Amino acid sequence: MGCLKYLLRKEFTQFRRNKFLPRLVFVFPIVVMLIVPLIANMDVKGVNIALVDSDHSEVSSRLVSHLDASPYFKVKMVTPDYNAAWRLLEEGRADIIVSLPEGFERGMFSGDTPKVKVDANAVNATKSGLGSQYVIMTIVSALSEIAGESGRSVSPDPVSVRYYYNETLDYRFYMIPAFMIILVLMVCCFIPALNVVLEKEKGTIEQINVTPVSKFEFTLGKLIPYWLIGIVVLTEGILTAGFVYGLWPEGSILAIYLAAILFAFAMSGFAIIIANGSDTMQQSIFVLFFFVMIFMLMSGLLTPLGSMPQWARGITVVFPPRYFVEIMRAVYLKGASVAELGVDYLALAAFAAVFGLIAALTYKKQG
Amino acid sequence: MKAIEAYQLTKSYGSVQALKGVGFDVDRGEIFGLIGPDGAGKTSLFRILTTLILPDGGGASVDGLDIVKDYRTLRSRVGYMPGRFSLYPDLSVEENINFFANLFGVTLEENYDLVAPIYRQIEPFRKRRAGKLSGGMKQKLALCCALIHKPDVLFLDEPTTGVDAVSCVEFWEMLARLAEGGISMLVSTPYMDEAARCGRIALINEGEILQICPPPDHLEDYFIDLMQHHGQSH
Repeated sequence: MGCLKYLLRKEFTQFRRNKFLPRLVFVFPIVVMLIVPLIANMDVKGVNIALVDSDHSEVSSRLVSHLDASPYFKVKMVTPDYNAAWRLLEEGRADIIVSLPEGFERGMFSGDTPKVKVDANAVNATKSGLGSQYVIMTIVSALSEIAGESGRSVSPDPVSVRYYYNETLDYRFYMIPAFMIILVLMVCCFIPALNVVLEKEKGTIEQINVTPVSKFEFTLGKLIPYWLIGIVVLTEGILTAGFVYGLWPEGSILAIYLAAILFAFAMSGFAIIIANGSDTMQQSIFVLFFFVMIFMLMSGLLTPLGSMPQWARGITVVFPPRYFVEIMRAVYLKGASVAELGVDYLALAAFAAVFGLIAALTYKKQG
Repeated sequence: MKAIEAYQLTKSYGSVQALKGVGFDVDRGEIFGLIGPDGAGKTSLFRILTTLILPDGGGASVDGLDIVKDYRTLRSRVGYMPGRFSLYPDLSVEENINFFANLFGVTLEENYDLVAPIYRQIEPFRKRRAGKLSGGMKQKLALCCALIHKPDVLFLDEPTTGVDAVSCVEFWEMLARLAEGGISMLVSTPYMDEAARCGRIALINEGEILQICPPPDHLEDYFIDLMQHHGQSH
């Protein structure tokens, strides 16, 4: 293993000399962490409402002002004509139609409240889902307020919901750990693969191949630098999340780093396997891109694993990011410990070992 | 013991037969030239003898070591200078030399005497990035890196391609000096005039050695005659 230190020294000299890579590693993650959580969120604001008021009562006009006062809604139209509201929805100028039936106020005070109808344009599923949820919440609270004022018994909310681990239901807190994972994933997949393929394209790999360097040393020499870079990127992510968004991990920072080390090793091993099988940059990039897309979409990063069909969830067992996502969210939001997530850590360790080994074995003399 | 002994080497890439049973041997301290047009199979032969690829058939030994069985040991005994410049362009001259020296477990200082005649010429540029050197300088650097671990056998695949005429002459003088010092060499070249500087040459075409002989006068005519004659006999 005497050559490893020279191989590593060479990698770091090349990294330092490179005009682009140091910037990528030191600036890109911070920029991503500063900007993306601000713009990529699922908060529903500015839901346009068309209100069909067939009741024309005091209650109905109080409801309108309640909805209008909410920061989430804009009441675009108040009309007695359902068809007019529907046209507005079709034109895309309203997202939700709220219909108050005739005799609503009367029914309410006689204890037999007619149903309020909510129609939502579900092309944007999140907006319609969350928006109609908000509409219902606003109406329920407005109605109980009105009922309270007029001295009638206020029926207590039949259901009470409390959100744990992310109490403000801030999508950002759910996504920030995911962005860190995406950063580590990208850096540990693309850079080592490009590095190895570049050695092939420049022919320098030939020059290394005629030296007594073993394939394990060569592969380790390629893995270790990106492993460290993965850790640097993660650290930048953690610090930005903490100082800018006030999100510090609930659990131990060591648990996060242990997972990140295993994950970075597994992913750069995976990248080198692909690089070993590719002859050109384009080839390796497209193949990697394919896998990275699948990893991002199917590892519970953006949508929860629980909402996937059973067969798809079965496939995700072989995706290393899945375990890292699990660990990051659990440690970050719930404060879980290494012992509680033992299976996920073992899975990551297994991937790191297997991918590292395959990477070394597939690195062969060409031809 | 010969420096290189090869017999019946064959290699195919798909349906293309790059080598069709090539055999020859190189004496100690000899400069053996491999002369032939592009696509004759010279590079495949080099890659087999330097343990970069495996032959499909036949066998060879270099410095008394089998190229398949003893490839690990063999790698520290041979130097290889590929046809294309393949050192790290973003490392300096010095860093490239030290890097390859370290991989072989030696230092520049240890083997300075061997590389000195060549290294002295690029020493003024030792802090310059290898990618920024001229063609002749790159070639000298590549030779330094191939020599740094005191190999017994040196493989030079078209070392003078893309290098100016003066540098070429200098380069061959260096090779002659190295051969006097006991290093055996296999050199390929597409240039007929360089063949005269070899002890013996093998004329290779379409994966076959047509003839092995000391370099004749008027090699060009000789080679063309030979190729035509060979073509007729098929």
